Amino acid sequence: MPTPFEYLQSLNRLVHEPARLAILVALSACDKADFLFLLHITGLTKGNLSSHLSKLADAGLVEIEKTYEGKTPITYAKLTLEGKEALKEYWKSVDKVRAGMRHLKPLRTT
Amino acid sequence: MTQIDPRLVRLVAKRFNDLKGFHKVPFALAIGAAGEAWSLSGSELVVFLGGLAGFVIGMITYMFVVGDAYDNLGRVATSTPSRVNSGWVGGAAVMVMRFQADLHIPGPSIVWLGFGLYFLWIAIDGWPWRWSHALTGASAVYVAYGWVAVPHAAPFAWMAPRLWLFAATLTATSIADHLLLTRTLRVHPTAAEENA
Repeated sequence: MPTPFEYLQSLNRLVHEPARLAILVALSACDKADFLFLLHITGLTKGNLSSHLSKLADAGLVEIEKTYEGKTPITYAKLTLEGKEALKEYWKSVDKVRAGMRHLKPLRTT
Repeated sequence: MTQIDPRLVRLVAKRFNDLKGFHKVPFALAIGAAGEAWSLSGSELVVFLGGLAGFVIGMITYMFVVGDAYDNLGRVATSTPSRVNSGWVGGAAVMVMRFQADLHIPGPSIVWLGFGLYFLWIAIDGWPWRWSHALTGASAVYVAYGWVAVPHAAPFAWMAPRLWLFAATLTATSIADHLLLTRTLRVHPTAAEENA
C-alpha cells in the first residue's frame, strides 16, 4: 500500500498549484465564468491569470470561449469533463494523504 | 493571490447572481409598501398600487445607486434558476394565495410557509456565510401564521407589521449578500486598471 508521501508525490501538479486550483474550484461550481470574475476571485494579475488559463487549456482541463455581449468582448472559461475528473481525482488524493498522515506520530528527537 | 476558503470560492461561483443583493431590495420595498397600504385601506386596488409604488421607488433607487456596478464583478453562467424564474414564482405565489383565500382553506399561508422554507434552504446551502437568511425564513413563517389569527374580512391591519418585518429582514439579508459578494471579489488595483 502506498505511503502518504507517495500519494503526495502523485498529486497532479498542474491542479495542485494554488492559483490554478482556485480557478478550477471556481469553475467547478458553475457552467462558465468570465475572465473578470476569475481575476477578482483569484486576485491574480491579468498576465498571471492568462498564463494559468493557457496552461489549463493546453492540458484540456479548461475550455476557452471568446464571445461578444453587444460590442463588449468577453472571454469565458469552462471546465471540461477531463477537468472535472482531474479535480475529483485531486481531492481524492488529498483525502488519502490526510487519512495517511493521521496515523503518523511525530519523531522523538531528544 | 487572495487567500480565501475554497468553499467560499465555490459558494460565490455557484450563487453569484443570487448574491447580487441589491436586485432584491425593490421587492422588499414593494412588500413593505403593500403591507402598509393594506393596513391603511384594506382595499386590494390600493394594496396593488402601494406595492407597485414601492417597487418603482426601489427600482429607481437601484438603477441610480447601483446601476451597472455588478457588471464590473464579471459574469458567471450557472444552470441554477435564480432571477430568471422569479416572475413565474411571483405570479404562482399570488395565484396560490388567492386560491387559499377564496376556498377558505384553513391553516397557515401555504405561500409564506414556502417562502420560509426557501430562505431556510438558502441559509443551510450557504452556511455559515449566509446564516442571516434563516431570519428572513423565520419572519416569512411569522407572516404565514398571521394568516390564521385574523379572519379574511378584517381590515388586514395586522398584516403591516408582519410584512414590514419580512421586508426589513429581506433588505438586511440582501445587503449582507451584497457585502459577502463584494468582499470576496475584492477589486484589486490591477483588475481595476484592466477594467478601465
